[in-house]
Amino acid sequence: MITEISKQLDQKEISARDLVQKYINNIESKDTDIQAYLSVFKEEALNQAQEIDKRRNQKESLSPLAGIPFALKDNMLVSGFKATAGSKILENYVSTYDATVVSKLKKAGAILLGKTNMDEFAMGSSTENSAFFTTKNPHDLSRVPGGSSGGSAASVAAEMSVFTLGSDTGGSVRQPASFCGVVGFKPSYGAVSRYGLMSMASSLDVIGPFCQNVEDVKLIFETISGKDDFDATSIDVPHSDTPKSLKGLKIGIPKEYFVGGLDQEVELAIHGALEKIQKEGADIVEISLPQTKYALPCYYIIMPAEVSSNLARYDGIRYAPQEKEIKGELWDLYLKNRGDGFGEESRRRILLGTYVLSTGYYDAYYLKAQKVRQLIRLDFKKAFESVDFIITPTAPTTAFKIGEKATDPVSMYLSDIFTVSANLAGLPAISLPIRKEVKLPIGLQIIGSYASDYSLLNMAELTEKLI
Amino acid sequence: MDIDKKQIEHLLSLARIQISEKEEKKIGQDLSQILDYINQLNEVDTNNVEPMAGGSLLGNVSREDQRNLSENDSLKLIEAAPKNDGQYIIVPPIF
Repeated sequence: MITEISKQLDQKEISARDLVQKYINNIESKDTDIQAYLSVFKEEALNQAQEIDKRRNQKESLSPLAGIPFALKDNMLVSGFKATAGSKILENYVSTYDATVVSKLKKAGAILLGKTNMDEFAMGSSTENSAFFTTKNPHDLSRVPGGSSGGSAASVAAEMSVFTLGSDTGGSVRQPASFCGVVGFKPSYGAVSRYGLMSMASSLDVIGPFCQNVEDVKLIFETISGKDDFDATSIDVPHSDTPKSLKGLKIGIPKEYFVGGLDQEVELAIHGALEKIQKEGADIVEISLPQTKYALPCYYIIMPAEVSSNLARYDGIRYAPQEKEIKGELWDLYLKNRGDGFGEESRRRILLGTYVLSTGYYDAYYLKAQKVRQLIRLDFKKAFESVDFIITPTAPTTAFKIGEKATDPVSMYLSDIFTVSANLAGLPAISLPIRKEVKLPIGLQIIGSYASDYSLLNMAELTEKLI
Repeated sequence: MDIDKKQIEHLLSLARIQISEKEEKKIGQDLSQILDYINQLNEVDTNNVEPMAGGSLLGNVSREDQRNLSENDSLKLIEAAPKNDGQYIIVPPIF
């Protein structure tokens, strides 16, 4: 899609300004219902587009992303603009610098339309935990768009942006992509710099794009990835132009993913897609990932532990819900600002993390979970000795109703059951929409071995044509 | 696994969070339910398994100890605090 738009821009069939205006019109007509955006930068976007048009007229050689409108999940920093992370505690916070992904996209000339809604500090699977409002699924407004990057997914699905970025700690890009019927990619851990992304669980967080198709994902990934001096965990992943065909590829289907809790409709859709992949000559084999059952409980120790320390910085002093008269002592200010500033789910995870890290429980919970995490990583490593890729459903169900899981934390957590493993093991994974006559979108997840991001994207591009 | 009132109060104090009694009770029930779920990990035999610390297999990553921020950047960070006088962040008395 981006290549086509870029060609139209180059051939002056459309100006960047008109293109941006078209997307702003879409936002103005659709977003009252969908509520994907927390903020829209109309004037700035139109001005930047005009600037791109001017540069193009002067025959400057521009990136394919020059003039392409995009949006960012509101936990990524853009100098001079608000970044709330969907939290009351950051309601008035203005970023003082650009995230690395933002500098790279700005340099390429992409045009920032606005910031999208999310579960508070990226904690949730429905966007209902935003302190501001709940984003709706563009396919059915009574349903959730998924989460935590629900606003970014809904924005692409409703054509309110050409592409968006989200962050994926346990499935927060792939699960909403699945619910909204768009492509969502979680790169290998470290492949995209986290500098300027608000930390949730640092050993799991990855920034990834939402797009209409895999070709666009590749283009965005090429632009935003790479080693960065400002993120010591960042890496360069090697380029690859294979596979060129599905023929002869070995695809593993983990039997542990096709058990109770998986919707029949989802299971049928995945099997339908697998048949098509097999017809192209791929070899579909059943594999076993024995620790699958323990991935989610393992995640719910490691993630809250890291959350509790990362969110300690919101101390009510450097960041506060609002400017207040300071009464009492420092201690009271901490208690009050953090009590008022954090929503229910954030408080739950901070306390859970505090618990598993506290005296007497560290070995039983945190250390134990780190060991199970190692076993999960080794499960995948072993599997990739005999298969090229692994295919699973992205989520056990299609988009659920707003409010349906809001009162039961564990049932909400279960919607990430198929996505968390890739984060624990650091692997690249992508969710592709299965486009068939189903009412609500269903996502197919393809997982690749560590740092095989480009091969995974090539394979996904071959697969998306079939399903 | 039950978390009692005293434990919740201790956790809230460690995490510097103040909430109402009603919310305390609810969060106690939620945590008990979540802990029951995560206690499944006890079924896994982890003898002789090295813990995976962090998300990356990278070793030590070092860089030159150079200042990357300008004076102006530091001031911008101070200004981001809701209570400041331009050069310092204002906090309540600590004793």
